[in-house]
Amino acid sequence: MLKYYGTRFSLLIPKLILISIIIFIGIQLSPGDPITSTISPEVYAKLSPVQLEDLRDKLGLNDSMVHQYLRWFSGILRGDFGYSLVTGGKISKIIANRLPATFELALFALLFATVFGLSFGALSAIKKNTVIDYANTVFGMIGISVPPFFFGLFAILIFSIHLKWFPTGGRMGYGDITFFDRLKYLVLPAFVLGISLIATLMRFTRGSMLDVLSKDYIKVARSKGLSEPKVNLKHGFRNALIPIMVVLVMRIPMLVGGTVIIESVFNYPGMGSLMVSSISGSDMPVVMISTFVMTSSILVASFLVDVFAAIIDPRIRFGAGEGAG
Amino acid sequence: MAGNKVVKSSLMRRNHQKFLSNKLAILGLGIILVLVFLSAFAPLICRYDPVYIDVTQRLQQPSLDHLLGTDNVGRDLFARLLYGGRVSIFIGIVSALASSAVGIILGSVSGYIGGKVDSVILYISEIFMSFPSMILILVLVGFMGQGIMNLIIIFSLIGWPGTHRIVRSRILSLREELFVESCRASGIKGTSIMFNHLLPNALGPVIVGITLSTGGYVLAEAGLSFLGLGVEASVPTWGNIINAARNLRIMQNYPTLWIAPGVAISLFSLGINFLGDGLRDVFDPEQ
Repeated sequence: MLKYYGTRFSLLIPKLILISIIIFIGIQLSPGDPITSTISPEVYAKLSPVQLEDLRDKLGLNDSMVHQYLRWFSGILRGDFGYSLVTGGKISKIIANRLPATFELALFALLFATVFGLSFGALSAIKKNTVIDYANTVFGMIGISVPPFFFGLFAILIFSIHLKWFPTGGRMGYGDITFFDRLKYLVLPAFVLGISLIATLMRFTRGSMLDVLSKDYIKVARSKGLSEPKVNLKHGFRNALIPIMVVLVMRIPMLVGGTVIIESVFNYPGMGSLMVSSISGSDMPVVMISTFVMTSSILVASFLVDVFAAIIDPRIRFGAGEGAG
Repeated sequence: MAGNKVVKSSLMRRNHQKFLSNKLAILGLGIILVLVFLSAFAPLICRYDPVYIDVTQRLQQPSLDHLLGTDNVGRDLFARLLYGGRVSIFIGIVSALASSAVGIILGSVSGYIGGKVDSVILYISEIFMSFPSMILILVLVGFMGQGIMNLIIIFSLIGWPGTHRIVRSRILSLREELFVESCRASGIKGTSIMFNHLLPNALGPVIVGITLSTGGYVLAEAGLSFLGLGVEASVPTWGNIINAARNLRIMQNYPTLWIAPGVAISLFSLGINFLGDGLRDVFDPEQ
């Protein structure tokens, strides 16, 4: 079991390093001389070329690429992400403010999507070719076809402007300190973010469940006289879950990518809206570091879901252990 | 030879019938054709210029004069919708074709040559897939800037791994077959075997992929333009039209301004998904 987690984990490291190299190259390729955007135009105008060269040396901008990468990467490991070209603030500080917000949002969306997607999908399969099944299929089709920002605008119009149940956006108001104060800001964006994943999971759960329900061991379970819920849940659903976990892992990047649009729709101060504003302001270091942070979080999250899948299904860890060894 | 032809045409006829009996796929195709027709013949259907600003006509409600009303600088929304469709659908189709072309070439090379080349391409595609595509797109927009051409290039750079996988696995499973052996024995060149003899076997899933990704790119363009990071704001696209209406007052009082383009995007994407699903059933030999 430990060996399985070990192999999964060791696959993670080279990927992270490769991604960090790509990110570093990205920062280097950013348009403009890094020094002109690090200091204000007024200061830049006052400095003589010699002083500029000094500053360049001081900032390490004249060293070899490999050297610069190693220094940059060791900085990353120590939590030093460099400075924003626009605000001049520490990127680590900006991200420390934004990351928990996106984490909260994505986690809740994932929760919504798993709960609704799995239960509706399983229901569809059990009640195959009934009104419930057709309604779910229609919802599933709409869920993957309608752009998420359109859902978001609708949700704001209906639930925030007309019904006034939830705020139109933001993450907290004055005096909203505890998590439960913030919950009302989280519901709409998390749900809208989760919609396409709900639809996808529903389709897969239905398919996977139908597949399992046609197996012989389900017939055996029925003929043993087990109750219908027990057959469906314990023998059907549990076995149908495994391929669904794979889909879930593959969809996590899409979910995180979706935060970019949803956070903009709801003015939610997370990593996604940070990306958008930084790109509009050509603040490429912030863009690249945000990309790095989000991508590595996804890799780690996928790893955790893999671990979870292995816990619920022994076949995965033993099968993979043999394959790797 | 003659016998071969009969078999082929009867398979085609069966596929044709299978497709025609799928009502949702026909509906999807219908929706797409209508939207493409409306956009393509926009100048004949609508007499307004989509970018002409007429401040005296701003924020008109829908009427016979302006079928869907006008936006906050007095541009006719119906005209913008039709002309916007041209750009959005163009980006979708061209990006889908271009990214699939990249995927087909890399997939054929990967599957036929195999070995180190295959591992390298596969690893690159894995790295591509570990980035959320939306974020990768945004980063590239940050580097290359906005614009129709840039979006198409970016989508093609990012979208190939899907097609690559399909083509690679299909060719990998076929390359040891006898007909490939006999091709080699009769001295046919590797590239010819790859593209003329192996690739046609992967055509079905590739066509499904191209169809579905057209919808995906239309959605992606809409999302980017909605964020103000897609096509330049001066060019009408479905995403840009919604972006121009992003403001609580307009959202509440002039809902047509954002609902109409949203419906257009959703309909197109729904049509594509219906069509794609139908085509998948047709090409799936198990069905």
